[in-house]
Amino acid sequence: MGAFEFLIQGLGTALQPAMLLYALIGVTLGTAVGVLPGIGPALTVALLLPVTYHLDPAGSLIMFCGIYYGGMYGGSTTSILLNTPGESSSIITALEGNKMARAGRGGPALATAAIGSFIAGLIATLFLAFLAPWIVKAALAFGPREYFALMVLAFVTVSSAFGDSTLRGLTSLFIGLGLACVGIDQLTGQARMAFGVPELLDGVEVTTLAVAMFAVGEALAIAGLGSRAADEVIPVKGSVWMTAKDWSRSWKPWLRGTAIGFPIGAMPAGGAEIGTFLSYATEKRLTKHPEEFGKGAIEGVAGPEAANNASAAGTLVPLLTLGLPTSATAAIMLAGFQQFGLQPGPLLFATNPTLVWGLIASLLIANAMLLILNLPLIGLWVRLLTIPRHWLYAGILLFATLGTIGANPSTFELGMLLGFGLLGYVMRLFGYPIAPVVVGLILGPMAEQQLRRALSISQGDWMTLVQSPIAAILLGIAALAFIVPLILRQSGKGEVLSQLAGDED
Amino acid sequence: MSQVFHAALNLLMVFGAAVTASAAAKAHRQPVTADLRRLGVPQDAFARIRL
Repeated sequence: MGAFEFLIQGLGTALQPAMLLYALIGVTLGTAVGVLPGIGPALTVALLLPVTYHLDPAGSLIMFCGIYYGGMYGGSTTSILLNTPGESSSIITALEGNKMARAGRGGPALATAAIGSFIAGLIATLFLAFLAPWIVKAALAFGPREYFALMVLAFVTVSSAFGDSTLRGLTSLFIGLGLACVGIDQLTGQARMAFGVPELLDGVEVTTLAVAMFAVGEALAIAGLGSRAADEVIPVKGSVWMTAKDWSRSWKPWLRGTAIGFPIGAMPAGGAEIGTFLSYATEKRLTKHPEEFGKGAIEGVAGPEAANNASAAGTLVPLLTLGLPTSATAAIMLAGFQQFGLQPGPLLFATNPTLVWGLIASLLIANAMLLILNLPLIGLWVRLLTIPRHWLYAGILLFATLGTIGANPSTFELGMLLGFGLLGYVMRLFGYPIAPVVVGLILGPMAEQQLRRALSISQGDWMTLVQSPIAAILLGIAALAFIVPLILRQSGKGEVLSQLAGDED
Repeated sequence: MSQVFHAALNLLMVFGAAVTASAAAKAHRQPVTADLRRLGVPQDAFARIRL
């Protein structure tokens, strides 16, 4: 059966009333968290992980993907109307979008963002559907050493290649890898780093760490910032519809944004933001109206918004086909799969095709739901911004605590939640990235298992790791991903150093 | 040949600028001027965004 037939079958699953309801909850929650600055899809999915323990796996995963897509849609609203991006992937949208809103063209700015997101999401989901079977076929040839090399690549890219500081990224990664060592050794059955504490023999729960780092840490960080000035929302004047000229100036940026965002999202730790910056640079170079850039050019909204939504679908390519998370939200979603005993990767397509294709098909439906939810209900989303911030974060803390206790009723787990929450806060305070900790905890045991398997097969010969061409290429790319950003950073080091004034490592 | 090399180098520099600018923005910091210039992003307008 080809991808198209599988997709049609998946639509059958995704169109079931219960799945539609899960998708609707997901996209509604996603749009809300996208609109609210400071709260992202990673935090929301992390909060929902313990709550969805006893729910239907397919429905829960469809809801998580809906949150991810919704977050990408919602982030543009505050960028355009407030000049405060709801998501980091919508930062660049604020540049031209807010200028358009100030010039009384907020409606067309929101429309081109929403329609561009819809088109990009649709095309990128189809790319995902048709590309996934090919990658799965190639990945079936992977053995332990290839998988180990793939995970080394993920470690390097997530922690050091695309981050702000190599040292900080690697420190975060090794905190995660260290936590991954806690518990019973999978091969020998011996206790490791449990320090005689029986509760630690099961290891550190990914859910607890994710909720603590993303929800508790973020809430504490926001509280630490103190009160800030109220946001000034620019009212949407006139029609929200785009004129014929707006359409003709938007369709090419939508397609170019999709073409840029999708591969960037699929790259390990590419992140949606990179695609939006590249899309903006491309549109500025190709536009016939360069004089409008910086004053509210519609291309500067259409392209980046398409790029950030396409990258969300791109992120799902390595996640579903190789079990490789390339962003914080993808890492939490991987934990979501694991809590249901599912391991994303080539085998999932063979053992659970209904779930995988239902999930992919549900993205098409979620996309359509988002278009309907976003434009006509713009007033409702903007009103969310009037919720006092302290109420919101108090609610998040309460939900995080109740969810963790509900899933794992023990005071020790609660202590770990608070301890890791404090660690998350301190890491934010000193500019350490959070995602590598979670990725280290999730992928660490898998990497260890594959390395030990490879070494067992080769009878302890480390050279086996570079004797397979695929593994050697992957390790080579990992080395490049480590070295090239260092050189790139070095090229602008003088300026960086003067700007950061000793804040860099 | 040298034109192709320069185009490829330029592409790599723009990509590098996008990588470092997005990393800075994600960390709620103002990206480096050279990166913003390379990406064609107006620095003043960017500085006004509440990261």
